[in-house]
Amino acid sequence: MYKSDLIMNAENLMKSLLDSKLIQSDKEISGFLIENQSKRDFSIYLKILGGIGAYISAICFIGFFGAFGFFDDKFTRVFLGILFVSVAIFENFLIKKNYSIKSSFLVQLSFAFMILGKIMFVTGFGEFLSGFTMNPDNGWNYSLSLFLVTFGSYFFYDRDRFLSLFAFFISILINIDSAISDNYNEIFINGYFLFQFICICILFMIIRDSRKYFSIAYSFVFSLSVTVLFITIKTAFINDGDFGWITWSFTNLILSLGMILLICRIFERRNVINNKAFLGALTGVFLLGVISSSGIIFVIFLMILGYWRHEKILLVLSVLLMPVFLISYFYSLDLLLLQKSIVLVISGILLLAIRFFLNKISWDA
Amino acid sequence: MFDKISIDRKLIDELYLNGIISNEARQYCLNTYYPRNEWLIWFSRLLMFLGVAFILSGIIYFFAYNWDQISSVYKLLIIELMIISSVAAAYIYSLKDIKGQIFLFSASLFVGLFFVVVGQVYISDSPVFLFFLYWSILIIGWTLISNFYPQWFLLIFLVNIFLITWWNQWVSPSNDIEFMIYTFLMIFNGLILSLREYFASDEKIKWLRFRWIRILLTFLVLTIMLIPILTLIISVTEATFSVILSAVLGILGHIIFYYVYRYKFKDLLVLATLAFSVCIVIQVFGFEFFGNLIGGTDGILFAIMGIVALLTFSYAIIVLRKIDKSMESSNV
Repeated sequence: MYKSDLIMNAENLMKSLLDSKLIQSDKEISGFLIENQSKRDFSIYLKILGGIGAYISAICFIGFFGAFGFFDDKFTRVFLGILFVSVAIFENFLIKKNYSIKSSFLVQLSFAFMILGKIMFVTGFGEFLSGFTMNPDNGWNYSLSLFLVTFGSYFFYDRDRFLSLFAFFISILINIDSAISDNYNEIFINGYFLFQFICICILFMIIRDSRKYFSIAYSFVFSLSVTVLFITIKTAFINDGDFGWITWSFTNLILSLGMILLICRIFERRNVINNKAFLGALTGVFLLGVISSSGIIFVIFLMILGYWRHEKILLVLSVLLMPVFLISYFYSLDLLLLQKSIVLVISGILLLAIRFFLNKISWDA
Repeated sequence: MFDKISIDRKLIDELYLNGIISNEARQYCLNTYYPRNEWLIWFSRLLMFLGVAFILSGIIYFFAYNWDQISSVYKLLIIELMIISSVAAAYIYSLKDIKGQIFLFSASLFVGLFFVVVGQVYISDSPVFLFFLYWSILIIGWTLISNFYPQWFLLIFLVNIFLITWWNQWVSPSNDIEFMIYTFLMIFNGLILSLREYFASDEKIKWLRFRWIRILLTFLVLTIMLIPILTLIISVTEATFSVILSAVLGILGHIIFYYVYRYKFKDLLVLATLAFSVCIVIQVFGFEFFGNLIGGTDGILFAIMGIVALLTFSYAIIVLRKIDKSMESSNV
């Protein structure tokens, strides 16, 4: 029975589970649904709309405080930052969430206060810390401030977890690129890439209840996407001398190993050695690792992970990133136009052949 | 009441995490509501699109490499040959099959390539809009029989570009009628969206049912409607007839959108986009209104606008949440 044949409602869910003998009775599910009906969350569209509103309002409040000189002194910013973050957390605890305009206004206000407070704290505390470092332009101060404010509010406020964590991870990437000397830059970028990739593998492939860590998992995914994009831009477009074969071979190796691990997880409990699809997939990974770029392998990894974990966001992200990595790959190939045209045609034929093969062996079975 | 509670991934996970269903039941639910077979079809098509795109790019690269060595007659003959063979392949595979549709789409792209080469070989002063006009006219027939959304998007894109280049280059409008282009674009793209909604329920045109087609067209039409409204607010004292007309049509368009997607087709995403557009209008209006009242940009103005933003977006969310609760989702 597929989605097209089934109306997606709770009644059908319970009926379908009972028919399949996966539950003994529907009492527990119905009880849970009744209990949680009032707590049901906003639709994702409404959350995005609310988030945009809160951001606009936070920017306006920054304008207000800026106009009255509250941004001039770092200690005032730190104090106001802590105050606004605390107010946002307390307000969020006290709000009685219902369908009223007052409740919606207060939820938005708490989010706007949180954004405002975090911006004030990070800029103020970062500037304060720069007084203790040898290099006043050191961006690590701001990363540390982001770390403190993100993890300080993490367990008390859930609305901005993803954005805060994402900002923190990106700040690390920026600092590695700008603050670390050229000699170690490549090693640190690759190390950071490895760290993020391991975290993603643990969160999506090993931990069973990964939904509990939804914000962390997705902030790692988006941050790693930016890291891979960054490496691609450095190697393909800017042709940075610091990034070369070491980065190419390291990232390709790590991503290929991750992909093999993922495929093994997908094929678990089956006789994998004799499975044609498994062997075909391994050959594909090996070929990709040898001839392809990290961006392309990363996109395919995301696609398979999204497919396996039923995570639509991963699939959409992979589709959006794919053209960028494909264009950069063919752009960066050190070949004549004629040779590139042959590589493109052969790649196209190869993809059509893979499609034909997958359809033949009915991959999903 | 349970038929009113919609199921999504989050709810399935909540049931599992609270120990109400087993992991096996969770997997069963996910496979039922998010069937992998649908994704396999999607992945298979993605491979085909990429494969065809690579081969076409390879062919273009090949010609680019040898371009200077090929004589003008051969250049045109090669492209004509590519058009004919693509159309023949589309006929052989049939337009009911995606392969046939892709071949027809390729032929449509080659028509554009043909005009580019003609323009290069016979260097002429003909205006650019004619290129898009001829290209659009020549592929209209194929588009009508194609049953293929990329083909339709190509035609829509070409007509939009034609209208913009024709207006700017050929008409060269005076200041008074400059904004009439937004009216034309609104009418054309609005008509396309109306046709999509009208024919989506037709059993013979199932491809039109993809919700993202509606979403993409909605984003396009709403953006076109929003620009003259904001222009009118920002420069109300200097507004020309065309700005006022386009803005009035834009407001009317917003009302029609609300009615159609609130009562006829019931789509929360479209309504949320509409609400966002209205909130932006209110925000810009607020800045202009309070800015004139207070005089210039001031700290107080920012504080007022911060509160206005919270109020408008909060109100929009409450209205949408009520609508969401009252309507059954419909993706047609």
